[in-house]
This record gives sequence, C-alpha cells and structure tokens, in this order.
Amino acid sequence: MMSVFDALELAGRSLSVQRTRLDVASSNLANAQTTRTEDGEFFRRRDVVLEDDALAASFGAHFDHALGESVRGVKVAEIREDEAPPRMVHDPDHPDAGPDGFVAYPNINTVEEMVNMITTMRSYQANLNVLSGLREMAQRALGIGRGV
Amino acid sequence: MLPLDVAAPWIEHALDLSSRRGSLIRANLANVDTPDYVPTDLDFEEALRAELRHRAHFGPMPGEPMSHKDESVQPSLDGNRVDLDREMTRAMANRMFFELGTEVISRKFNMMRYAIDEGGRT
Repeated sequence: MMSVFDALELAGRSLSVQRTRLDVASSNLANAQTTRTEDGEFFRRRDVVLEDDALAASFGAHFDHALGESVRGVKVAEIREDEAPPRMVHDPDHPDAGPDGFVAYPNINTVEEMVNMITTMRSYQANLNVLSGLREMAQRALGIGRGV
Repeated sequence: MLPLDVAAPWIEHALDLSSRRGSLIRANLANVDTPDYVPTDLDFEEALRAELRHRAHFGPMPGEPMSHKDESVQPSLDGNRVDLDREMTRAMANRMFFELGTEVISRKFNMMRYAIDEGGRT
C-alpha cells in the first residue's frame, strides 16, 4: 500500500524521466546532419535507457519495504551512445569530406526520432493524467461526508 | 477523539511546515534557470516522524525542521539542479497536504460549533 504522496512522487519522477527522453530526442533531431563534434567525429545518436527504481527516501518507503516493494518507480539508468556506423554520403565539396570524397553523417533516422518523441509525449500526458486523477481522488476524499 | 486544544496545535504545526515547504518550493521554481542553483527542500518526513515519536505522551512540539539541499538530481550544463517536473509535483503534494490540514481543522471547529449550538438547535 502506498500513500497518496508516494504515488505523486512516482508520477513526478516519471514526468522527469519523460522530459529527459524528450531532451535526448530533440538533441538527436537537431544533430541529424552534424558531421563535427568535440571528438572530431560525426555525431552519435543517443538512447535513453530506463530502469525501475525503488521509491526510497520518500514518504512511507519503509512500509512499502515491508510489503515486498510491489510498487516501483522509474529512473534513467544511462544515456547510451548508438554504436551504429555513420551514413556515408559522397560529397567531395563538403569541408569534412574524407580523402575518398565521402562524408560521415550521423546514422539518425528522423522519422524514428519523431516517433520516439510522440510516444514520449504520450507517456508524459499519461503521467499528467495520473497526477490530476490523484488530485481529484484526494479532493473527493476530503469531501466525504460533506455532501460534495 | 482528541479535544480541540490538543489537536489544534498539531495541525497548526503541520500547516506551518507545509507552508514553509511551499515557500522553499516556490524559491526553487523561481530559480529554475539560475546557474549552479541547488534546490532546497524541507525534511518533511523527518519532521513528521519526530511528530509521531512525540505523539505518545503529547509532549512538546519537536524543534525546527531542517531544510536540506536536494542534490539527488543530476545538474544540467550550467550546474542547475532544479527538476521542473519534480518541483511541480512536490508543490502539488504540498498543496494537497495543506488542504487536508485545513479540512481537518475546520471539521473540528464545525463539531465544536455543533456542540455549542446544542446540536444545531438554533
């Protein structure tokens, strides 16, 4: 059994995680044509890896612990660089073209990133709905016996 | 049931905690773009636990709760550690807690008024 405040904390963390995913997706989209980075390489697309997480350091975490921690939150485990090879495009006039006239472009599929972005936004909205649902429930509970 | 003069100071204390936590959260939200800013939060859980510890003997109110720097969030490039979503959720949780406290105290008062009115005779 988790308290209302635990549920809020969980939804809040989830919102934060979804925001990170959106940040990463927008960074990937922005750098879809980037041929030059600090490493002197083409830009590598990044993936957010999510992991479940105990709701430690929150209200009533010890109660959950006693009940086998059935409720798990979410957190960002890591932001991993995609090891995929670059997309080689023949463009000898490009400043970053190699001796063979090929330019290494990041292997970023704009459509895939857009789809990621949309699913991320849906998850964010779902969590917002959880939050307003919790709020609604709390308000109804406060109104018990008041005829509201 | 607890008499009003016992319950009221507790609730007052809880509401006080809640409103102070609210001002900390508002300060964090105001500094959402301030470089190197680390958000603060009240040790609400700790304060409540102290409250419970004192409950058995209706002892004096525990001392001032400590606020702490919340460094659980990874800093962004400018060193800012405010997480907008989590602060907003905390603000909401805090507001709900405050509503709970005000509801409880107003019901206490209603009950007392009911007794004074001899069960609503007037």
